Amino acid sequence: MAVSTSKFNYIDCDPDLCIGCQICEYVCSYTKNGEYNTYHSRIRTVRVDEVLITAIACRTCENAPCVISCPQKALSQDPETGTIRLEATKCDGCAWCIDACDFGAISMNHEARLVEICDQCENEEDGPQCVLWCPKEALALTTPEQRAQKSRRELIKQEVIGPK
Amino acid sequence: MDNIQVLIEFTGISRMLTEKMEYQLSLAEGAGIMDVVRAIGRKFPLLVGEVIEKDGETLIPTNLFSVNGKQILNEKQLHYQPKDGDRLILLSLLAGG
Amino acid sequence: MFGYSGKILHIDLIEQKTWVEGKTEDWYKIWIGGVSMATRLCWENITPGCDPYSPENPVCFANGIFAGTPVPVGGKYGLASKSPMTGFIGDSLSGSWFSIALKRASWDGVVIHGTSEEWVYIFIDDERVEFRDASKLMGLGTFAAEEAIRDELADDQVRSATIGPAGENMVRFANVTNDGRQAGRTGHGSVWASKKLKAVSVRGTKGITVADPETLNKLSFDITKAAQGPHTSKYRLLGTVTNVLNMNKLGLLPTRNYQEGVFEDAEMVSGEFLHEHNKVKTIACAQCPIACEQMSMVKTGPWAGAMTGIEYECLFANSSNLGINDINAAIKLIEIADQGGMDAMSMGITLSWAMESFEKGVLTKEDFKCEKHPDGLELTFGNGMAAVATAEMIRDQVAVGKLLSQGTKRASETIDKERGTKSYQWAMHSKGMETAGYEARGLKTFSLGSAVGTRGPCHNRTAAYDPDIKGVVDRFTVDDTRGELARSTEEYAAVYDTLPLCKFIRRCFTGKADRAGAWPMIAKLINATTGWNYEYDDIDLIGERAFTIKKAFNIREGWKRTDDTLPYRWMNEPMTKGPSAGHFTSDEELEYMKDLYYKAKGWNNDGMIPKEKLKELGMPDVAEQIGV
Repeated sequence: MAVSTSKFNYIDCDPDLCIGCQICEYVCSYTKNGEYNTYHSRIRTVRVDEVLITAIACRTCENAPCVISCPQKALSQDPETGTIRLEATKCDGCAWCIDACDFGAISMNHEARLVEICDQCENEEDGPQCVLWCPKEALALTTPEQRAQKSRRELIKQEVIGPK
Repeated sequence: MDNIQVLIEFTGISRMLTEKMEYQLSLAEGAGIMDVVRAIGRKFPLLVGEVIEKDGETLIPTNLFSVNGKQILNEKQLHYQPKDGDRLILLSLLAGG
Repeated sequence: MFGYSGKILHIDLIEQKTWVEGKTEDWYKIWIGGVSMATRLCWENITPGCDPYSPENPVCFANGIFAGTPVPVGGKYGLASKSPMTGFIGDSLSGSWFSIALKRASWDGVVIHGTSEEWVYIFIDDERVEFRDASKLMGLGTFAAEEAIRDELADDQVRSATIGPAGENMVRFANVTNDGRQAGRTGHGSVWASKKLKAVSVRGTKGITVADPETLNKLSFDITKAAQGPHTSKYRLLGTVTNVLNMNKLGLLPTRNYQEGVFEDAEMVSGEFLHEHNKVKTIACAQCPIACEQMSMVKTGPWAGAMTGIEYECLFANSSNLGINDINAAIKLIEIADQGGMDAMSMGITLSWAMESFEKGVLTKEDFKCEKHPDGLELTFGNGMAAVATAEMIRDQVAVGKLLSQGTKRASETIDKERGTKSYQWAMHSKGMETAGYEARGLKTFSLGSAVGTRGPCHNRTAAYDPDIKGVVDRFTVDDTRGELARSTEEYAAVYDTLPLCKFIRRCFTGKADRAGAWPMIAKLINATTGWNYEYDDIDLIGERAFTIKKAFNIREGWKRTDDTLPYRWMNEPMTKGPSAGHFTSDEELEYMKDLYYKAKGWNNDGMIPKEKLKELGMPDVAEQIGV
């Protein structure tokens, strides 16, 4: 059961703008792991069919199921930002959190036997790298309310001014 | 000095931005291509930055005029003076795929 | 070594075994990747003189130097075999994920030898290779096969290059498809089918590292942003289909089997029209920030729901070239080609040959009789329904589809022999491969480039239409600059085809797309990836080497100067309508231009390559075998 009624920021992708280029995945894996490898990206593009494309990263759920599910209590959630934190020494790579996440936003690093979750590049000066790089500006660090506001404004513009 | 009439035909990007297929332009005789560019840039400001350079006087490469489908006016032929009745076709040239 | 793993994977379909060949950094410095490396691998592994459908014709993949890095539009690979259409090198490029997966599986190239006893598909799982039973995939379209393999192997990240039913049925111009893109021309699909190879699938889980990631990221970031500006607007907003009106206005849009260069209904099959009425979304290949693929859909009528990516070359071949003004028919035809796995260009131009043949009484209604069409068909210009039905017959090798599936050269030769006709006069091919979407009768330099093309009359390889269309030279006449021009444009294009990098990025480095504007940035990108010290001249050499190995391959397979020719129509019949009417390329003009071209290339007048030149270019073994 999906529980992202998040009041926190998360990386959101607009499927109307996403072209599926995967540059976000290269840049994420490079920033976090020092190599270009989509298996080690914390944001993942997905194409349902040729034209339905989007990207998914951690949705900073309230009462995050991943945190609740971890038998080793290796995951915790920052009360201010909502980002999920991993205590690497406690994680044994059991993958229960991957099961618990309805968004498929957690992945396993098999070499390190640790899970990887988007932390919105909190350690990068210029913020989330994927957002910076996305050629179509399809990605944004946003809350659900801000996302909804944006959609409403776009709709009004289209209705009143006409489609672009 | 008499005025001459030329027909600007829009294709590709220029057509999308102007939402017109063609446009009748009145020019002073002896006007050159840069005058044409200036005139349509003023009439259709959306073209500036996409098809016309920000200076409003030249076309962004690889947008080019073809005169009546025959001659293409590249940067070496900007001195061309349109004649009355010329069709100036604004093309966005690109490699096919 | 950065940028390369140093390993080529060899696969033998006969004994189902594999081995690894190590290559040195010096070898990669010469061959780089893409069409050049793929041709070189073919040169090294083929039995010269073999039948393209024999076990001795290898399937050679060459990866891209930038695949899997953030370098924009670097996710491409080259594919080469001896072409069953021309008997010469069949080198193709394709974009998107397959190249990246292969790179992450740590392979610079793959060579597939022999012929399998049963239909198989190969799964390259990092360093492990599996030969898998393909019986459940048989008959599946290209996209469906990819999905089925993904399901079977239960991993989204598995990428596959597949052949479709057209390939399985040995349609001579069948292609190889991956991730919605195609290694489209020269007939790879039928070569794979002759080997009973349905697909090659890859999963690569390793990371890619480069020599100087900070620099590479910075350069890539800047190019990515530049790729959103006016230097790519035409690709992003309308796609390559913008060329329909461009060519029509110049009188160069092939119409009704290249009878004319102006189509009265061009507006109805233009990119602008497609954008208004049929576009669903623009999508991108993997690693591309431009996004030029215009996914378009038929919304009403008998083919409602048909959707595929539309490019200029497929569009002209299946609309104006067929006298068809119904965009829906064109989309449907291209979808048949894409799903069925055949080259939409060769298919369209073979259909137009068939239409002209029908109208001239060379083919009759009866030729089209089959179960689905017991009364046959009237394949006249403009008849969308009949064209769609015939395209399906080609794919399925039914009735006259069998003849047409062999392409215009063989179809016209067969029919002319059987029926005493002269249909060769309207068969639009050179060396056995069909022509491209530019009326060469109004483009003299392009005529030369088409005639001397190593894989046939390919617009992409020669790029010689550029000086003609841009008015750098008079496109209707011939002069002594044309040889050098054709050399220059083809070697420029070859650099992009070898790295590979998609040519659409060429203006995004500095705003100027010429060598001075592009080579310095390309050198920086190569150096940041590999740690080499490449400079301007080294980049130039990339292009020269690519064309040289292709020519050498052809010479070894029996190429002669007389093979460099043009279709009968382009050499004998002028167009009568539009701004380019009244011209064609005479024998005399062509021979004169060929003299100039061979000279500009540093070859002798027979088009043979001097030993010294080959040694200079770093290919002493080639010098030994075919140098003069």
